[in-house]
Amino acid sequence: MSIDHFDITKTTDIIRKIIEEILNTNQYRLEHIDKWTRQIVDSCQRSLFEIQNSFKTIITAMIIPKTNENIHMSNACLWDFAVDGSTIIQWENDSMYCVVSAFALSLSITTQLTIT
Amino acid sequence: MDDTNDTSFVVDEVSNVIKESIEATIGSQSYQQARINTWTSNIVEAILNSLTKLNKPFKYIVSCVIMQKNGAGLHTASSCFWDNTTDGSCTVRWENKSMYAIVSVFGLSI
Repeated sequence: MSIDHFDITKTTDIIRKIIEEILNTNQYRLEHIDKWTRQIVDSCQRSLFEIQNSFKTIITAMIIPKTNENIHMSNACLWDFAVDGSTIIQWENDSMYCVVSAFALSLSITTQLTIT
Repeated sequence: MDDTNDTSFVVDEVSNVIKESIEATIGSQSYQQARINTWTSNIVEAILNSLTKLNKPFKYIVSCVIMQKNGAGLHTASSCFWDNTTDGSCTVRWENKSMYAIVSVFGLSI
C-alpha cells in the first residue's frame, strides 16, 4: 500500500493562482484586508482538499502593507519528513506583500518524527 | 479510566511554553535588524524542543513572526483541516517597546 506524498509543485501553483485572483492589482485597504486574508485561506483549504485529502492541512496567510516595515518569519516542524511537506509562497503587488504558508501532514501512520 | 491530558493538546500548557521561549530570547531586547533571523529561529527551535519533551503523540508546526513597531498593520488568517476532537492550536501575541512577536503552534495528533 503506497502512501500519498505531498505534492509541493501543484500546491504552490494552486495557492499562487488563488492569491492572484483575490488580491490582483488591488490597493492595500483596511476595510478589505480581513476579508481577503479569510478568503485566501478558505479557498486554499478547499482547493487543497480536492487534490490531496489524505492530509491534515494548516494554511496561514499574512498581508502586510508596503511601508518601510521589517518583518521576519520562521517556521519549524516536528513531522515525518518522508510524507509530510510544506510550501511558503511570497507574492506582492505595488501596495502590499502577501505570504501564505501551507503545511500538509499525512494521515497515514508514520514511523519517524524529525524536527525540520 | 483514562487521563486525557496525556494525549490531548492542552492550550494553557502550550501557551506557557511559547511565552517562556519568547521571553528568554527577546524579552529584554530592542529590535535589531542584524539579530532578527537568529531570534525567530531560536524561538521556534526552543518551542519545538520543549514541546517534544512533553512526549505527546503529536506532530507540531511552530510559526513565529517578528515585526518592528513602525505603525503599519499586520493581518493574518489561518485555516486548519484536522480532527476537532484531538488537534489544537495556540497563538500568542507579545510585544515590548520596539517590536511585536506573533507565535502560533499547531498540534496534530498522530
